[in-house]
Amino acid sequence: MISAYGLGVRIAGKVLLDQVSFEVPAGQWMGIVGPNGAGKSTLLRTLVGLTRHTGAVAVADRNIRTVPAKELARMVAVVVQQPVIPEGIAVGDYVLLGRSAHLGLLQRETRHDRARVTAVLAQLELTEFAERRMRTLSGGELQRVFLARALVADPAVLLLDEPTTALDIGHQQEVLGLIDRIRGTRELTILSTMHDLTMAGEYADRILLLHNGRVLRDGSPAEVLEPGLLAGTYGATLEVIPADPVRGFGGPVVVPVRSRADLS
Amino acid sequence: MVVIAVLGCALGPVPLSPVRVLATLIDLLPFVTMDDTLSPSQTAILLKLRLPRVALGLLVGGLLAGCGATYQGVFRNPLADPYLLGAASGAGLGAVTAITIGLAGDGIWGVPLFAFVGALAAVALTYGLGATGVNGGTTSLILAGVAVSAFASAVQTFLMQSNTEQLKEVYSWLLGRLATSGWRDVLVVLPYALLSLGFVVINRRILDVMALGDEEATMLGLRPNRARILFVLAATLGTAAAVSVSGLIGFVGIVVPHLVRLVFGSSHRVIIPLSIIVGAALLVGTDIVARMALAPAEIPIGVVTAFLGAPFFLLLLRSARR
Ligand SMILES: Nc1ncnc2c1ncn2[C@@H]1O[C@H](COP(=O)(O)OP(=O)(O)OP(=O)(O)O)[C@@H](O)[C@H]1O
Ligand SMILES: [Mg+2]
Repeated sequence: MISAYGLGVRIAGKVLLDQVSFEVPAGQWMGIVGPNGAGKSTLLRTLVGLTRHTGAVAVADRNIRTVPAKELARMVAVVVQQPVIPEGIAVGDYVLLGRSAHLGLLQRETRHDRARVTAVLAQLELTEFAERRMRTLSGGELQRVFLARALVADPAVLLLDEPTTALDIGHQQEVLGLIDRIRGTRELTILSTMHDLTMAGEYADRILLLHNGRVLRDGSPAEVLEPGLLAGTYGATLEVIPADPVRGFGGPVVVPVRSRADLS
Repeated sequence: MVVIAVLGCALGPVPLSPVRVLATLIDLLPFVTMDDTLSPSQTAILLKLRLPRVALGLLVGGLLAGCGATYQGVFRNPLADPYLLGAASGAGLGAVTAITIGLAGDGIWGVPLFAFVGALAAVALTYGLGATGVNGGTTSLILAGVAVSAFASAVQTFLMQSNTEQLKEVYSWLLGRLATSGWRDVLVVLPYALLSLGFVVINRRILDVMALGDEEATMLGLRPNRARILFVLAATLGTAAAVSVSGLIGFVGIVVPHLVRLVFGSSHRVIIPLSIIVGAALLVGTDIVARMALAPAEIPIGVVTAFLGAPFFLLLLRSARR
């Protein structure tokens, strides 16, 4: 559904992405992980043509350079890492902006557009917030609103930049579970960057590990969430408990631990 | 707005009964007959003097406030308004140029067109000098606007000094006035007002998209640079039209959108149309004050808006700093 072929991005002589390639089939959820500054956000921005890049991106087998901006926006919706919240805007109006790609110049939202907003707000249990101003919402509520804005565009591909980083563990599970359920109701391809490696393994079908703009590994959670690889990449001390469906965790559990050197 | 418009028709050197004004106006509509209308001479005052003046006030007020709200949306800057961006003084310079080379009488082409070119040049210059970034850069944008305004005023003064025979005409125009030249001025601004405000009103949802910043706007399929240019063109055209008939009437373009935002939140779906309506009503109301306060003398309306608007503007600056 969305593919990258040898993507490279350099800004001011610094290499941000280097030879990044992958193909994500329709309906798959790919988690993108890597340390701060690895190039995760840059990769997502590149996938919608927002950076000057070498290589190519294809969405539904079309090179995005040949797809008009509006049409691309109808196919791929993005929730950025730190969305701008305009002063004073109400939740309903904000979510309605997600329909923009379906409207031409001089066109206004139709009843259908508003119906989509109502439906998505209901789906994300946001109906009661429709009239509230964005600034009055909690972090978890905001994250659901951002997701709603992306979903009303009825995209085929959803790009999420750290959708759960600001949330407590309960809300993390809630948002990721929600995304997973929506994926079940229609065929939605998802690429999400994540910092919580255990969560990435639980929800994503596949994980891409980035480091310094390069793909270090690309595979199933069990293949990527491997203690030696992660410890080296993150410069962290950690343990990995293998997946154990009987005890109720479908992916490997990555536990950061205090280093032995610290303790002695 | 309707109430203020009727009052604007009724009040003046020869007071007319508001009820009868309303009755006379309704009587003018086809298929409606009202008793209790004004006498023929009063009707003449109404139709030839008061009504065009009120119509002009509505148009100019609506334009200034609507264009102010548009600039604020496009530049994502609550302080952007026709005056601070230099558009108005650019328009003023253009208009003075047109007057001094003797184009004043040429209806919809002479003064408004020169004013438009002047305004556009000024906004482009302000933006070029001050745009260190669309998202921040408030201070530098405003400073550039002040510099451009000052420069335009200097050139304008020079033009006026070297063409003293038109000095008085230009001077009274500069202070801001709602002209009493009957329907002619109304017909001059009307096409520009429809074009400018029509574009902005119809496309106002795009201003909400632009409020998300260029990156997210692009992700929603908008081409921010193209949209910005179109909106600035529309707002500048409207400003130029307003300035070319009424001179420099400050603060309407910044005070009205802020009031609307304070009360009704910040979606441009609401801000734009309400700013136009409130601006229209406010200017007609201010014109009543300008006519009545020192009657029979008239205070230039630009002086009144400055008198009321400047303190408000300072309050705004204070609260923006917090
Ligand atoms: N416009 C830019 N100019 C220069 N350097 C940039 C630019 N944009 C990003 N970078 C650099 O590129 C690197 C990758 O940034 P990116 O935001 O993609 O990282 P990330 O993996 O998303 O990190 P995080 O987990 O902290 O969000 C960083 O070192 C960043 O400083
Ligand atoms: Mg990032």
